[in-house]
Amino acid sequence: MKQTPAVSVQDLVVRYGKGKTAVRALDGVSLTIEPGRVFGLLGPNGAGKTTLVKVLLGLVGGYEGRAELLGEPVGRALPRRRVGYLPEAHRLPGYLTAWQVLELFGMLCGRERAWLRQRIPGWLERVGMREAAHRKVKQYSKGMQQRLGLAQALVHEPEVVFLDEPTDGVDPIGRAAVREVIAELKRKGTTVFLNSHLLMEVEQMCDHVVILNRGRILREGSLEEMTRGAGAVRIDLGRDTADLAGKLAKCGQVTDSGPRHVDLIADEQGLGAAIDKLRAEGLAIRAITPRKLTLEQVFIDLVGAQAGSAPR
Amino acid sequence: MNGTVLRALFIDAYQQVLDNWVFRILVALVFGTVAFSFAVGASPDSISILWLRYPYAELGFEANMLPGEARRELLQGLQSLFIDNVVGTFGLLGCLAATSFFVPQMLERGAADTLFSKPVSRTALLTARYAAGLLFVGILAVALVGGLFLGLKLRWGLEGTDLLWSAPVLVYRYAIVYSATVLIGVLTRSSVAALLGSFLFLGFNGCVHGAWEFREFTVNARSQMEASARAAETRAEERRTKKNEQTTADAAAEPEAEAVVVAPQPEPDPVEDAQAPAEAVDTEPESPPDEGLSFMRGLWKAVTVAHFVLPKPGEAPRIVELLTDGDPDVADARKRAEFDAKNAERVAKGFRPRSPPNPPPGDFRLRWGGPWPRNAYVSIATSLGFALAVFLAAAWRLSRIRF
Ligand SMILES: Nc1ncnc2c1ncn2[C@@H]1O[C@H](COP(=O)(O)OP(=O)(O)OP(=O)(O)O)[C@@H](O)[C@H]1O
Ligand SMILES: [Mg+2]
Repeated sequence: MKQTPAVSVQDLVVRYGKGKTAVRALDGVSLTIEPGRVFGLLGPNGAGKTTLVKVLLGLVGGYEGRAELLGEPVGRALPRRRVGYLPEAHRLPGYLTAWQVLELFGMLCGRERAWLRQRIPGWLERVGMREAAHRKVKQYSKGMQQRLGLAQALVHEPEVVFLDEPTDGVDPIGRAAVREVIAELKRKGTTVFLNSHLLMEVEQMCDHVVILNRGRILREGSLEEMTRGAGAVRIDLGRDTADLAGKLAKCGQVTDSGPRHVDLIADEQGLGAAIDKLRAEGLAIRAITPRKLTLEQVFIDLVGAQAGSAPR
Repeated sequence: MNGTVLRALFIDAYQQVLDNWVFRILVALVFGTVAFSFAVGASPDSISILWLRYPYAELGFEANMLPGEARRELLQGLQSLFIDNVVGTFGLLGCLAATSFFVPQMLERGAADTLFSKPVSRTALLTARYAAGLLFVGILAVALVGGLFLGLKLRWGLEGTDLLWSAPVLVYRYAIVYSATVLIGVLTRSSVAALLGSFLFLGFNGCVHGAWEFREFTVNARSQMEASARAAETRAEERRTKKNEQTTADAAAEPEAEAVVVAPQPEPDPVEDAQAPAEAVDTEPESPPDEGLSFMRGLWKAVTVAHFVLPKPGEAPRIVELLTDGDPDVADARKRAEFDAKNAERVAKGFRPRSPPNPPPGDFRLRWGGPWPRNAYVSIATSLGFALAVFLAAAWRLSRIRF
């Protein structure tokens, strides 16, 4: 039996504004996310990541195309009981304490108070907010609010979680805690939808990635596929050589170079040309090894190649 | 929506109200007022402050200075003047100020995302905020009215059950205005705009009703004066025909005296005021003064329509009177009977009887069964209808906001 996808969108278009100033925040996005995945949504500022999440949560209406969450059209309130959301730059009600926030939002998601009371201490512990649990939110620092926001998104034990820049403003220890929480969600089979600019983190946590730019999907695939890096190699030389990068610039894209090595992204022809060039200069090649790209390299490569990638 | 969600919304509303410093000030004021009613009491023969009793005789007053009746009157005065008017006006302003940010704060960027992503409909969330406002005012009104009721009962020995009507009417008065605050809040998503907008709306609302009342009053007074003038003329006519056979000097003197009463013609209403000088100057049919006249007519029509459409918080004290005193006719009759009884007592004691109080000029008071411009049900129904319509408009607008 085929499982219901956690998220399914078809030809999604979202416009903001009218006339000359109109922006297509999403411009024909189609995407299906199977349950149980940790899904990274990447893209430069203004790419439409937040807009996509907001459409899925029923916060942004008036879109074209089809959008379903857990098999139901978005905008229906009830399916959202099984969904958690940490918005970007969010604010929690200042008049409540951390404990009250978790209780309130858990109850709004249909969980009984007694059920929540058993679990709230655990969540406060996991996000490191135990000590401040009975202080009002308005007294919290940004990072504290962010930690509480994460707990709020998860306290009702949802099946699908949307995290829009969860580590924004969080200190390194908190980030490690967030990563630990996400790893735990992954073990439990929760679908996680992660927006982040911290590609190192995405690389550590996600198994699937979509790169969005100007409202369109540039690339989608497993992390493996993305970083396998077609044509990325490292060439090691026997002795120190000056200006390796300059010598090979015409053969492909040099991503890194040192006196005795050069990282190159090139197709077969380009690699052949590089080898010929080095040989012609009488340089001894010690090894050529295929190399995995970092997600950051893939990202910069893809997005940078698009003309005018500055935020609109 | 189930019980847990409702409870969550209630708890949220409650916490938000408790956190509000204006609420705390208002609670302190209410507490002070109630404490005063407990601290000071007046029985028929003595006044008491805290646990000390001072008989009136010892203070140099009449021993029976405040009989039950006088104390009841004092109580009525307290209700209609203090609770229904002072609290109903200034307390209402305070409560509006304290609750105007409930909705815009919920809609602020960042705050809205979390709340509106929860599995609760937007209309339910908006209703919860409206209910939070009612809760806010309800707590204060019940504390004030209930506290005074208890204080008067325990310390004055008065059964002021009538007083209790003031509490729901205060909430009603707030409810019909707060919906406008909610709408402004949804439209602007700004706390400051919601506050200022509410006050502006209240002011505008007051002006419209004031203008309508004024016109009603002048029209009423005029028709009454005309009626009395007509009556006087008929009487004069009758007398003239009767006295026709008598001496001419006698016959002439009387009608002339009556004519003095007739002479000051009632203030013509502004419509005709605008017309009169114009006609004197210009007699052409298509002249600007006619435009002025039709403008005034249009204006009055607009005022009348607006009066019926807009909520009528100002009629709340009259509604309390209807609830406690009954219809004005009944109340008048009862007051007249009381007055007559007192007069009879005075006469029995050998004093001169007092002349009865004048009936109010023009009977355009609100009644349960009055004609529709003066019908209390119409007043309540149109006010609640306005509140509902405005609230639905707010809910509709909210359903279309992109957060
Ligand atoms: N409320 C709005 N009104 C008008 N335009 C908007 C609104 N929200 C977003 N946009 C536009 O939609 C586009 C996508 O915005 P979105 O917030 O989805 O970007 P993002 O990918 O989340 O960016 P970031 O990485 O900076 O968070 C941008 O061009 C933005 O200007
Ligand atoms: Mg974003």
